[in-house]
Amino acid sequence: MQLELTGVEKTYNISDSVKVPALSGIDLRIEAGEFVSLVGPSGCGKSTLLSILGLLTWPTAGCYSFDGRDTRTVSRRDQARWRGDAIGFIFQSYNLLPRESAWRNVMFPLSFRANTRSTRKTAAMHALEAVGLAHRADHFPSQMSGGEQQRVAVARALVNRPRLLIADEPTGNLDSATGKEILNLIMRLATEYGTAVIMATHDASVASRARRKVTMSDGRIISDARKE
Amino acid sequence: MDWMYTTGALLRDMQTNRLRRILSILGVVIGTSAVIASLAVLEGGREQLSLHLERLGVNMVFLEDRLRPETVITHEYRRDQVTLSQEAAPDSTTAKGRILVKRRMAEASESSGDSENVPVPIHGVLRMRDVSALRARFPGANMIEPVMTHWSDVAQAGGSPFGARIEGGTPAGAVVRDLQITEGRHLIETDIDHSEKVCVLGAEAADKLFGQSAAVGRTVSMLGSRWRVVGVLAQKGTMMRFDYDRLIIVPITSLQERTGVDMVNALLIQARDGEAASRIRTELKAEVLARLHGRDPEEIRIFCQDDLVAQYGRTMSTFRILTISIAAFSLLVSGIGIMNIMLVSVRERTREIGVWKAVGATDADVLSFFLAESVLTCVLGGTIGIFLGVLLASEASGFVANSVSEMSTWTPVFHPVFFGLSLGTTILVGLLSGIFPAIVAAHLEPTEALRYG
Ligand SMILES: Nc1ncnc2c1ncn2[C@@H]1O[C@H](COP(=O)(O)OP(=O)(O)O)[C@@H](O)[C@H]1O
Ligand SMILES: [Mg+2]
Repeated sequence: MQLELTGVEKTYNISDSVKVPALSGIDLRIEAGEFVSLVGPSGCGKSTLLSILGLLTWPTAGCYSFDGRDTRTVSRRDQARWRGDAIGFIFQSYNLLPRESAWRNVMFPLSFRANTRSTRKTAAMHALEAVGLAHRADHFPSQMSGGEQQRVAVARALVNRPRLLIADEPTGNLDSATGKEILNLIMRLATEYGTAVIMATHDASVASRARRKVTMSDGRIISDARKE
Repeated sequence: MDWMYTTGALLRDMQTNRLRRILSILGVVIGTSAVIASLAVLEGGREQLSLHLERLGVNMVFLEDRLRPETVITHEYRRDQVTLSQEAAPDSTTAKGRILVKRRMAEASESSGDSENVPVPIHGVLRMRDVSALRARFPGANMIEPVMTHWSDVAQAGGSPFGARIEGGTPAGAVVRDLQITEGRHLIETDIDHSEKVCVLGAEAADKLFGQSAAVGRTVSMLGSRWRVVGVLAQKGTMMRFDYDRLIIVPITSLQERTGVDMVNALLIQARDGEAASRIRTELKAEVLARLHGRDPEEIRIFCQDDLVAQYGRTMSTFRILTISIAAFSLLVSGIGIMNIMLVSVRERTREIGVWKAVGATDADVLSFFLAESVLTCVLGGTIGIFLGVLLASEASGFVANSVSEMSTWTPVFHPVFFGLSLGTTILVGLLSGIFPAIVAAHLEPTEALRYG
């Protein structure tokens, strides 16, 4: 797997006269299995960049090639399939479906693919087990703590064994101990599954554990550092 | 998208988000029940009014052939006992018609010889089998009853004779005209089948013959034989230029046998309703004339309550417009309600839609989920709405009947088509109003959806 952004720009049109440039001149390349942390002050464009990488929004200019294919030539329908098959998401605010139990939340991404109900449920239970919440399978998000909810979200993001995991401040809503747990979980599973991770974060300790650190400011990448 | 999962998710959502569910279903329930109730109440009113006007004779059509049997009768009793008065043989019988019938009669009697008590086959007049053919031709008629009228002298045994109108009729002929009996009975089928010599007297005829004493069981002499009185009609007066009180009704078969003439010179028609009556009225004459080759069209007359029929038509179309507009209006209101609820439902779920899309839902997946939601809402709400509508209609009708004194009974009428119509249209409206928000939801950019709320 290989992701490549070349000259990517993103401008939000608030109105005809007010335009917010969120990203400009982004060149970035991510290889299979990499772990990348994305840092920078709030409002610098981290979430926007992650959304573009995750095919949740589209650049206003520039090229994003996913596995060597220019995404501008891929239909929305196929992009949805790619999201389902190759990409997992973890959000700061968990974004679980509030009216579904933990295991149904984890199973949800599988319901858009052709497979039997029993294999889906088995896969969901395995994923819950991997995040240590098999015993809470029937609980609803409202019955779980933030850390538990985020663990369910990790299970949901990884239930498909995606090649890319996009995490937007996954520890932002959690205390540091719980945040560390979640981070360990993500790193362990990503390594196990060979999933590339790109994680936006404010947490310096989190960032320090990544092998590659991309720093942004004002919609631009100002440094891209690799540790040996 | 897995439909089992969709339905399951909907049902789970229904349990956990009761208020919103109840509200959206309520919108459909109100819409459906309003349509059903208004249709049923108005249709009930329409039928009630129609019935009311029918009692006034709006659905009756009379046909009269002005050629009288008297002009073609050549039998013994006529020479002996019957003297035709001026009144009995009206001038209006045209020379042409009379000549035609007489010529054909002459031909007939040459071939079959003397034929007393056997109806003479004559042409150019309506006969019993024409009546059957007309019944088949006009399914909009409940009854088409043959009548043969004949003027004759009538007398009580030993009394002095007077001229009366003898009507050969059928039991149903009395029903068509709503003739009531005060004494004895009406004609019955066996009277017709066996050509019984029985008669039912008009109120005035009975008075002339028997005064205050009971008439039933007595006998009267007419047409050269004796007839047993079986009933006396209540006073009715003149209706459509026809004096019922001086009438004497006998079985049509008996009259045809006695006079030896197989002819029908009037038809009593009761149509299904005023509309059918006016259709029959416009088509009947041509149909009859086609069966009576060469007859003068002037001799065939049709009577009906023209003013009443016109009034009936206007009232009924007013009612129809009222019904359609009320039904359309309640559909519109419920449609807007459903649409609102659907839009709110999508808006509330916008963030969820973002999650769906992030985990791989295509636009079509999102679209089909919201469509499934509207179908389920509409079918559930529509079914409850039907029951509520039936209840509502009964209540509303009771209320209307109480406040409109002339309409003591106003029962709602439920045609099966009303159920289909209201359920079908609310589902259609629900789908249409579900489609728009569903399309809006499906086309959201995932980030926009995720940022929502
Ligand atoms: N949907 C949007 N509409 C308008 N402006 C937006 C939108 N999303 C982000 N922005 C703006 O783009 C810039 C980058 O935002 P974001 O990518 O969320 O930054 P970060 O995640 O680093 O805090 C900010 O100035 C933000 O206000
Ligand atoms: Mg952000």
